[in-house]
Amino acid sequence: MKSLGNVLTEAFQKPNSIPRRMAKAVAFNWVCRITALCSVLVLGVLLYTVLSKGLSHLSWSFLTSSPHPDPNRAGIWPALMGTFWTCAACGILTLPIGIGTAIFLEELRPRNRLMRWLHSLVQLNIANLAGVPSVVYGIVGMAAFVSMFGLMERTVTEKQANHSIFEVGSRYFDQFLTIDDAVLMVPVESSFSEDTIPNDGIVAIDLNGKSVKMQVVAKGQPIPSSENEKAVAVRWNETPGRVHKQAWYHFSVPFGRSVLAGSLTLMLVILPVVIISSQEAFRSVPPSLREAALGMGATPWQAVWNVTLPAAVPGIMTGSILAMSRAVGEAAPIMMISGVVFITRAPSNLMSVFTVLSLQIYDWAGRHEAGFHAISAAAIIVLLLLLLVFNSIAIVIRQKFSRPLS
Amino acid sequence: MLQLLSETRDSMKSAFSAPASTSDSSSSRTQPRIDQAEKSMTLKTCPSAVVFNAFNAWYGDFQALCDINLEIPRNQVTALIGPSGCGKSTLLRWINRMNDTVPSARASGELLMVDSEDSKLNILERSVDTVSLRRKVGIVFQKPNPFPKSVFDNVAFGPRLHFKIALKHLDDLVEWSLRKAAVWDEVKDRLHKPALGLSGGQQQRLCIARAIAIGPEILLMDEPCSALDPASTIKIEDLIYELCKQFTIVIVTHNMQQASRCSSQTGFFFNGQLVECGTTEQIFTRPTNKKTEDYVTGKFG
Ligand SMILES: Nc1ncnc2c1ncn2[C@@H]1O[C@H](COP(=O)(O)OP(=O)(O)OP(=O)(O)O)[C@@H](O)[C@H]1O
Ligand SMILES: [Mg+2]
Repeated sequence: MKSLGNVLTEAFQKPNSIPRRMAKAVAFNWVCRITALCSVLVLGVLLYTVLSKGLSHLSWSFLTSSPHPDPNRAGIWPALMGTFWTCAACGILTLPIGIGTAIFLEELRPRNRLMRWLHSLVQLNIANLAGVPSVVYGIVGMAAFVSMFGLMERTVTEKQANHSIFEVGSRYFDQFLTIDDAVLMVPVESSFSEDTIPNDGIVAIDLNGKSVKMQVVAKGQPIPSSENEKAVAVRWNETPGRVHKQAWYHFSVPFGRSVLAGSLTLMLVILPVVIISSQEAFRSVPPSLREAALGMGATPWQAVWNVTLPAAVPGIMTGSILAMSRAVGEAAPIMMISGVVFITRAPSNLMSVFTVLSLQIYDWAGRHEAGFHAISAAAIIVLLLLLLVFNSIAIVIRQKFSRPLS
Repeated sequence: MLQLLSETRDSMKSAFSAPASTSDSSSSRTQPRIDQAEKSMTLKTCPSAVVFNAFNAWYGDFQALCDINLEIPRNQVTALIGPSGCGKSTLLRWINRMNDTVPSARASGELLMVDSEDSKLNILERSVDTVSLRRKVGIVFQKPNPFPKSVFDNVAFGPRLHFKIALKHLDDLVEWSLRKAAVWDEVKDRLHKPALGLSGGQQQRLCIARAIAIGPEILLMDEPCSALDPASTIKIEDLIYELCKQFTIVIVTHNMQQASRCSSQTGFFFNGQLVECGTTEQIFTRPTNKKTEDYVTGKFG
């Protein structure tokens, strides 16, 4: 056997060449710089094309007006609001579920057999779900939220479009045109109610609580000439219709092609990412902190709430906000839910039909007229700004919360 | 709960009335902390706080502790010594069931906690409420681990967990604990600054203050001085001497001088076995076992 001294002298006779090692270091340095430059270059080209095309179309009226067949008068207000609504709802739904799951997986390691099995099952599934393409989630959302597998439907007559079995925050009216410009609205129970057919001599109650006998004038019949008679006359069969008035808390089951269905679908898309990044955040909390809390007699819940969760917040928020910015940009699952439709009003509640920026961009970019391509570039600029805001929030939160830990 | 609070307040009063005992450590440093002869006398008559009967502990298939029989006397300092990996921390962590956090950890035998009315509780039983157990058995870890909160919130953490306590009393309790742990003078001007800004030694004493703020009956210390400089070590040893009037203390240490200075009973562990246990004086001057002798005289391995 060689002595240590021999081994060392042998090794000393064949040194690695210092210049070669330095050259490798320099080469490595350059490779890193070039790869970094490449990504910046791609981003630069993208920004240049988008800005050069779209910047001139960016204006206040572009932000605040609705889509229009004429590209010069079209705007993104409904899409912008749709994006806000879906992302806000998606965030509110995702964070508690995601953080709760991460706490279950990381902090509350169960000791009993069945729960341990469930624990590893959930863990395995989440890892797999993170790789599923978002279109697939769109299909799932379509079946699960929009139509609820057809389980929640009520058999109604063909004429009535609304199939909700449960509904709050909405009222229905039958609407008739009166002779003057005023409108007569007759409240009905629900969308299934029989149509109100005004007969001659029906009694309505005016605002003072006085009953008034209505006079019904058929289509094509002459209008009464006396002012008094005219005031209580309605036209029969003149574009009447069922009107739907929704309160801000309007809610119905199944969800239909609504903001809520879209948010839930986006939740499915980003939930695995949120869970995994939250888990990572909990894992990076030093175990000594956990032991300190438990060692003082904290219950597992107190330890999580007072110690590990605050320490994990920066990591959780960074991960979640990055996931949210992915949700802002998603088009495929939203397209499954809302369809490419012409929507001219911003959503007013969770049950509203909606569109989002990315879908609006997709819609405009696919048209033939060059004017639409330009406004689609302008919409891209807005979307990029939105993402920039999201990421800045992530950075601010990380800075703010991680200070006391260091 | 109320009873505990009044107890704590009483002890607070006594702590405030005799503040000189902890602050002036220089005079006591030269003499042995504990009059060993006197201690050996009292040790025999002392009631036990914790009793191990045929205690075994495993991590998975690995047996970390083998057939331990040990009595820990009340209101005394018990030192556990032995080479690295012999199972001292394992023993300590079973006393307040910290090993529940290790999925593979198991134990058998009896680990009894005896309270002042002489009623016994087997800590190893599944039904034992770990939350109230850990309220009574505090632990200080080897590495200082203050929470990333303010100094005040660190000390107030335990009381807030266990008691509905008024803010004014909380202030008193925090001051009492910090004084007891001999850091009050150093942190009184920065109570609301982050605890992580303190030095390692101050952090460790803060952790001790945090552990005693809930009024435990037993205090477990796992190498509390291993990361500290001699000055902080001396302060903590003074503190241990001071605290054992009220608490039962079990301390793990690799420092022979420390064990001989501040404990009245010493147990020597080797390879998961309790080789010898006796009064500190006997272990360090007349050990009966050859291994113990080698270890305490530094001839070991
Ligand atoms: N979480 C664990 N999982 C598996 N084995 C463990 C675990 N913790 C400790 N052990 C093993 O149990 C034995 C005793 O460990 P323990 O920490 O009690 O030693 P110790 O006496 O405290 O040593 P030291 O003086 O170095 O702290 C060691 O052999 C160690 O490898
Ligand atoms: Mg140890």
